[in-house]
Amino acid sequence: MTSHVFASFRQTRAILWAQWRSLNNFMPRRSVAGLALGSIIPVLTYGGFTALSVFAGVLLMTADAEAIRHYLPIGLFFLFLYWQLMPLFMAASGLSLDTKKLLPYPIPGTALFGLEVLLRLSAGVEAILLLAGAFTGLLLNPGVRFWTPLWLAAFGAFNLLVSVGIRDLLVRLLARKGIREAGAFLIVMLAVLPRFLAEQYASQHSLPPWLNKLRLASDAIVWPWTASAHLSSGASHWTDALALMLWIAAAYAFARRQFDNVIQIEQTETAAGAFARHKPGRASWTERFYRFPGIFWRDPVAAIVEKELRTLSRSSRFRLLFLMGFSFGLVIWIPMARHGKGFMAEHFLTVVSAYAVLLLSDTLFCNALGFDRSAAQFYFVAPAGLRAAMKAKNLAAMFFLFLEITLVAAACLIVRVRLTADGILEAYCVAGVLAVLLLTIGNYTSLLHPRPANPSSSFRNSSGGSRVQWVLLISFPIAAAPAGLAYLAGYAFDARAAFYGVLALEAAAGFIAYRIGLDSAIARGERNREALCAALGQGSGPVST
Amino acid sequence: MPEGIPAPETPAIEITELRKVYAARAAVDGLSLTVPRGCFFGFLGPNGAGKTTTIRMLMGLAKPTSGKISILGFPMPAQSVEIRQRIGLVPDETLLFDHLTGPEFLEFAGRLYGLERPTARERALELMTLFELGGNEKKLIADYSKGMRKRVAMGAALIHRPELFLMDEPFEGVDAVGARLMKDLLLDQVRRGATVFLTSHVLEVVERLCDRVAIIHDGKLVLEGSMDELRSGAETLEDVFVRVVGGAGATETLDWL
Repeated sequence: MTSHVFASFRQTRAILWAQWRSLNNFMPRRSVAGLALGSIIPVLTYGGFTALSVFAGVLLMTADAEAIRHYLPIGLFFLFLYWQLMPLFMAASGLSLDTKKLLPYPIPGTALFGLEVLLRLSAGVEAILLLAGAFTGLLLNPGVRFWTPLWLAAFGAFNLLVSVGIRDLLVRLLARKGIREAGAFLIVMLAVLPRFLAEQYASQHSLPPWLNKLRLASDAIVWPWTASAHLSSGASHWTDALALMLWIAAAYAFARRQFDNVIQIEQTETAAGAFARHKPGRASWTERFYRFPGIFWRDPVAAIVEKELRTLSRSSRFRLLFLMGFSFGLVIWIPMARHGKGFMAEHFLTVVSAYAVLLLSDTLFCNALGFDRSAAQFYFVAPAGLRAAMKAKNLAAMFFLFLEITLVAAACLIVRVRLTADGILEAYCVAGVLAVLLLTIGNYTSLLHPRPANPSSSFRNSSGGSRVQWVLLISFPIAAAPAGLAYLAGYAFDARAAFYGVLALEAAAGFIAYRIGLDSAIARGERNREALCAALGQGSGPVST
Repeated sequence: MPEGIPAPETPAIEITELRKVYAARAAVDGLSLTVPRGCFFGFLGPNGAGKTTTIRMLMGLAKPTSGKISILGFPMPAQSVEIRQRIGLVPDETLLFDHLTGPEFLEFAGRLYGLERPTARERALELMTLFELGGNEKKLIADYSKGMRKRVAMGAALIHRPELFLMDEPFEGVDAVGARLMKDLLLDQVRRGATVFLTSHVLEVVERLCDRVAIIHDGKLVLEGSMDELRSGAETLEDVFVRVVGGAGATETLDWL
């Protein structure tokens, strides 16, 4: 047993060492400027959270027992939500073990699981910062015994285990054809349901009877955030400790079960996929859908657009992003559309469409060759050439964008959100102009800074993508500025015609810029072909970053 | 003998009624096979016959639908950690980490197999030299050619001196010099008592190296025996293979070709 534990420890150390070497080997290949630019966003983000953490600490340091008893459970509840939901919201998963590559080695399942739990820390760094702030605040509070804040560590462990379970559950759901989208959709909906209900019933000052019953039932449960708050502030009862231990045990069982199931998927996915995918002799509606580009374009562009529709539709990661743009965007902004006033409420569909553009940007606009990986070489050797490929990819991007807007508009009509024909037209036009400008920039980034992406991985790979994120951060406001000008013109002249007129002019200018940009990007891409193919063919380390 | 360690006379591999079903189709269908210790065993079959699925199940990378697998006397997957400790793997797709250099990866693999860090590092450098990868120590695996990647994978399979080698197309993409080196190494391992279980489409290689051969077709075992038992008269292994799995019929041509 001891030798087993020792071996696991040694293996864990070896895995972490190999990951560190992988990152170290990768870093020197990036320029100093690239590294500096890539560091700005994390510094700003984590700097902000550090400030928030200090603020929380100061509040808790001076708060009296009553205030702590009242507000700490609420704070921990929101911390829990943030920890568990933000990775879903961002479609990012932080670090996780590349179990597929580690399975052939004699590593006990417990060691892999332990490492996976530790790696979950990376998906909740912001939450850990806040938890550390709360811990320090309570520790320095003279009214709180010095050892009780340590219970917050147990709350952190609970969150880590839940996040392993949720991630692995998602991986499993998204690996199953048919139910993966439904599963992801349900989880997304469950995640935003509380906010949606709160917005819905806030104005009525009373809950519907069924929700009231649910609230009463919920009051009878000792939730982990309540138990942790009581225990860490010293205002606890033995039932709090028991409840927290039970919650942690339940989270462990959940996480362990999901992790074991994921390993089983890793064991069977390759061959199962090879057998299950092809069902010949069925000319389904999807097949007709894939073939529709042939109506509008001629080969080779039609063939490449068709290939894009097929591959993107089959990619778990793209489907998840498409679904997020559709569902999250809708649910986040719907309460504003129903009850709110001002720009958001008036231009609801446009706001949701812009959010969808932002979510789809990485895949459709800024890293269009990412899913092609080594196969991108084909574009340089096939007679069709890179120009046809990029043009087709851009057309496919526009198609998916307009499909997303159409679906959002249809969903709005179903849930009876007030939409006018003018609002729908506005959403299409604004998203179209935004997309054309993003494509102009994105064609450059796709050809000059390509990043290999795994289409079957449901989550975004954030490693090596900070440059693209930086480009996105700058380019999105730039691309959105013309639409802002059109709105200004509309308000200044108090006429929709002025808005559409300016937007039409910008669309024309954007199209010219797109054509010039495409020529230039292709010329650069042709010169950069060796580096481009090498970058797209790259793999990873033992930990998926 | 310590408790739980199987006797050395147990077969290297014992497969009983193994089945693997994907989407209602059996990739491996009731396969039973025994591979004695110290044997160079060739596992053959046409494309899609179930070779890779079988070897993936032996490696513990795929879960059998039914049937039993025993490797070096240990049941798989119940004692998969003990089994993996004793086998060297070269899978069909090399599971290498592209952002590590060759020596780094070999050291990493050695440490995962339980070697002390200095031992793993020393053996990694020796294997790099043995596989004629000297001069590429600072290159990332991502920059290696296919043949070089196979050599590194082979090195990782050897680093802990396993008792059994499971190899799926180990010579694919390797040049003649590299293939010769790998063959010599494997023959040497068999001489010292190790067992090699490999799949290959290059029948001449199998014929020259292997003591025993099994041929599967559509997931079922169709022939098994020593090389002399299988060949009758002047028949080559290729003749036997084509006779057993079919495909020697009239060659049809396409009108447009």
